[in-house]
Amino acid sequence: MRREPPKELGWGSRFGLVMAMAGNAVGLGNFLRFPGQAVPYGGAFMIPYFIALILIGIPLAWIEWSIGRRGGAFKHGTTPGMFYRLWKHPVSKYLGIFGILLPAMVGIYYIYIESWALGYAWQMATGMLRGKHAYEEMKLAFGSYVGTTNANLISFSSISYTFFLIAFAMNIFVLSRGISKGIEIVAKYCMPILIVLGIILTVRVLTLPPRGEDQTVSHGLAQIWRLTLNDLKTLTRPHVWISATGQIFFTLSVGLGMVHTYASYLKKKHDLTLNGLTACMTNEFVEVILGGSIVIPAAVVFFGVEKTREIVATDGTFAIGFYALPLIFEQIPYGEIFGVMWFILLFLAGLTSSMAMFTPLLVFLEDELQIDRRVGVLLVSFFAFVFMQPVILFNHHKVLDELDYWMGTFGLVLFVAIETVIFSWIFGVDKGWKELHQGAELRVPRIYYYIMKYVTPVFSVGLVLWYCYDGLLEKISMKYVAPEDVPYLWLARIMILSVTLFLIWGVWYAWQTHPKFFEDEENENINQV
Amino acid sequence: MMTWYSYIYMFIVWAIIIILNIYCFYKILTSKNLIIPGAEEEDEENINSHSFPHES
Repeated sequence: MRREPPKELGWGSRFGLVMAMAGNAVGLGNFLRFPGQAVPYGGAFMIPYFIALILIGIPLAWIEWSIGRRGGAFKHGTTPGMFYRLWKHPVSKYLGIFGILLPAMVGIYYIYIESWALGYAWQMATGMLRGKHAYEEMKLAFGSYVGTTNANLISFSSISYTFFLIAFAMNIFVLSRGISKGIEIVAKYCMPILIVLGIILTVRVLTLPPRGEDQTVSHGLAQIWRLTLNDLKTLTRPHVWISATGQIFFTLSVGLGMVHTYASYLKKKHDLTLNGLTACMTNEFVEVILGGSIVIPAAVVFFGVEKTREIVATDGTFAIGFYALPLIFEQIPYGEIFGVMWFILLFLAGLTSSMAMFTPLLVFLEDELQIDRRVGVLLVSFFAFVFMQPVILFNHHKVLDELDYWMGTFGLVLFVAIETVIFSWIFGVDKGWKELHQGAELRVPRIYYYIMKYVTPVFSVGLVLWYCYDGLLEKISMKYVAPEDVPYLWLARIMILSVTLFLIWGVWYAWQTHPKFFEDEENENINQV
Repeated sequence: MMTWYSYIYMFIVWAIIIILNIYCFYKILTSKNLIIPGAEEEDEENINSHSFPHES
């Protein structure tokens, strides 16, 4: 007798599914990372960016949706089982561990960063940031907010810790409610609110009056959209292509295993092509139109082109978001309202991504290790909370940066290469193409068959090789790390290693004990007879 | 400073993204291929009937 997932474990509506997938993709990076990547290259950045979106990003999204739905059909909600169904090799299931490890480890620091936005929204609303008139003052205020300014052994601040607890509790509550009653409901309401807030802020920034000769909105937009011969010459540099492709990976949240888990709840009559494209396009709307029109134009109007470029080069666009924008909002009419809107927007962007990050781990515990859902939520919450403490308390020793490099950057690129090779070359694009088009409402142009077969995997593998060439050894050997930070970076690596070992054991154990694998063997034996 | 062709470049990109969004959401919101919680699959193949081991 066929058994269906309980209602809260499957999607309740198609709109909710698309909003959750789009929310998964839309994150802090849309507003803070993207402009920082674009500014050094001017308008030329957008050319490789869109080429990467068309050739890598959208096909990768379709590949992940297809892997996820196919895995779900075999009762797998996470990538170890999904990869095993694509490639029946003893190694495949262990390669799938990345799809659980990466989102969980990224979630460990992402929720903390997201909580800063919530804390800053509160500080803007209560006027706690009032009276600061210089960029350096705001930078110091941020340091004292996260506890790094006067940190000795630990970096601790009661206010930032309080908001971390609130953000953590919200994430765990959503996780515990399941897909349709938790993630879907939050995405259905938060995504439209986020887009409305983004539009209001974009209009406000684009209508800011000029404050000097080179302090206009036009000068601000030019940092991302100008097209001069000099800018176009940057296209000959590999870095612009690597940055653009990397940005596409990060912005679409591919290579993290969350899309797979979400798609595993779909049936073969459900569309993948149109849903996948819609989620990608919603993300592009938020990133290119909204994200590209807030942070940089506002900073240029208030600081000028040179100072803005200097801030981006030294502190990154994150600094503009958290140090410069509160200053800017202080100086415009009703600025505190816009300031609150800005940080709520960032918080919602973070929340809609982070609430998915522990889902693969929870589903793995349920699906493969047969742990009761409530026990699973408790285990995930407990261990996530424990692992978050070093990130918060040793923030001044760059534990967060270490996790971000290995999990959110290098690991993500590596996982993308693994999944595209397995899907396109081992499982085969012919079968993959068929899987993608089951229930499809949008016929994908045939050229994508060849793109998925050759371009996407070659580009993905090429990117891994580039990362290996571009500073991997220095990262491994901690060449440029201050001696006092070394033990803390080792702590971050031990955290990664311990979760990896647990997952390796979990996969091994599941394949030894779970009845569904024995049923398969029996079915195969019957078929052979 | 933005030149006129930079503005055209920017607005063309914005227009493509907005049109694609409108097209995709129109197709989704007018589609009859809905997701209905608990709905049975039409065919009876073993695959594509997602269920989880903990379900009773």
